[in-house]
Amino acid sequence: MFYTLADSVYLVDGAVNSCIYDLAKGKLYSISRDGAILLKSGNAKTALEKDFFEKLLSVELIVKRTYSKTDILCLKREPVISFAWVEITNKCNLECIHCYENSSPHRNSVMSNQQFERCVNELKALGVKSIQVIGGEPLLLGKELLIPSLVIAANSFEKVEIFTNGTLIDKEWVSIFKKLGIHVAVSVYSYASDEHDKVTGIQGSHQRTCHSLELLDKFQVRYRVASLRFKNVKLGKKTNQCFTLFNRKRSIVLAGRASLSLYNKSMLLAKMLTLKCFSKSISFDSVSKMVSGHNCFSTRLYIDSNMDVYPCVMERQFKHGNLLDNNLSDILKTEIFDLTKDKIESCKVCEFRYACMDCRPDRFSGNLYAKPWYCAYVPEEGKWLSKSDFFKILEGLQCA
Amino acid sequence: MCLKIICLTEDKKASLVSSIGSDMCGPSDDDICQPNSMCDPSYQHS
Repeated sequence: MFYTLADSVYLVDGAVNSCIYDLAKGKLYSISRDGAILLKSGNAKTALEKDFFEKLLSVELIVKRTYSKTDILCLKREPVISFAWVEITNKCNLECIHCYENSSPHRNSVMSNQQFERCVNELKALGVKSIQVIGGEPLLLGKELLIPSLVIAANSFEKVEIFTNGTLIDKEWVSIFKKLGIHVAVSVYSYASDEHDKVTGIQGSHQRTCHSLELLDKFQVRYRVASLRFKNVKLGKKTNQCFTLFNRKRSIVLAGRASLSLYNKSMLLAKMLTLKCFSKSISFDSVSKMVSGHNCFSTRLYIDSNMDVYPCVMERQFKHGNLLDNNLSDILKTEIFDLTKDKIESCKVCEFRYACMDCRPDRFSGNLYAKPWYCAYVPEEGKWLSKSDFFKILEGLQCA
Repeated sequence: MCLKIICLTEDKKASLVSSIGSDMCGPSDDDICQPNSMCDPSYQHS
């Protein structure tokens, strides 16, 4: 009797161990090297091997039939860009300690209305459905400059969101957002003013942001609050009804001004990628996406205020090109879309590679293809690092 | 020979361990596998 993997069940080999991806049931299994070798042979000879196959049969991972190899790469599909960030200016009235763009009052690049319209037309032609207008602080452009761009965007996409620090929103802006159906995302770092202002570097910013959120809430504009946790910045006590901050460890990305010094030990431990991270069910779509390209780079674009095009709002080294003298479709680079885990150090020999998200901009400078610094798995040895070993390696990376 | 398979997805009924082998460690309750609210356009305010 021969056994083979059931439909929608795939075996992915790592350097030592392997994983079984059961996309029919959304389950991920870790399987030892001997188990994977036996599974590929499809033939049980000893009682132990027969018992092993019976267990796999009981959870419907295998079926009784002649072995037929189905590679998970058969799930590969063409990338579809569905979302883009458009940075309308890199100037900001705040100077947040973690800003990925190094935005500040001293920067002054602004996208003209004509350039913004060009971005919109190029993105529309590519099939993009939604965009986020971002800065810097977009509202620094003022109503005369920004409103025409927002009107064009609102008339062109299914969803337009503006990402703001919320310090400049007045009733007139609220009315414009509501009229145009524009969603608003506001960054808030604490309920306590002094704690939030420690992050933004500007005293009084929290008070102005909270006032804006009250306006958005009162006039029923669709908004959300984006937040991060920092070392030495307390969440504080909730004192309002219009937003809620969570103490979940939303992670800082090591881009721009951000560094590991913004993390405390518990935040680092929370960021550490461990076996527990794979306890959520996996979906056919997410695995297919990972097989086809990079989890983010293959579906998103970022256009900065100089018309440079990148695959992510936080990425500055992988670059598609510049839109000033080129069409978007002409500059998009296949190698960026095709950047699967199979090209990233260590990930390429990791059996979890199609079930694990990679934040490529979140890296120490230098090696574009470095193993994610927050990953505690050593696929080459089939072992997970202890917490102390994880910290030792981090110290080494910081010193390098 | 180490014939070992572990279901990592949270559904204890489907978990099975065969034979012996070194345990894999990894205590963490975070959602590192998820995009964060700063960069994820689908993250919803609640």
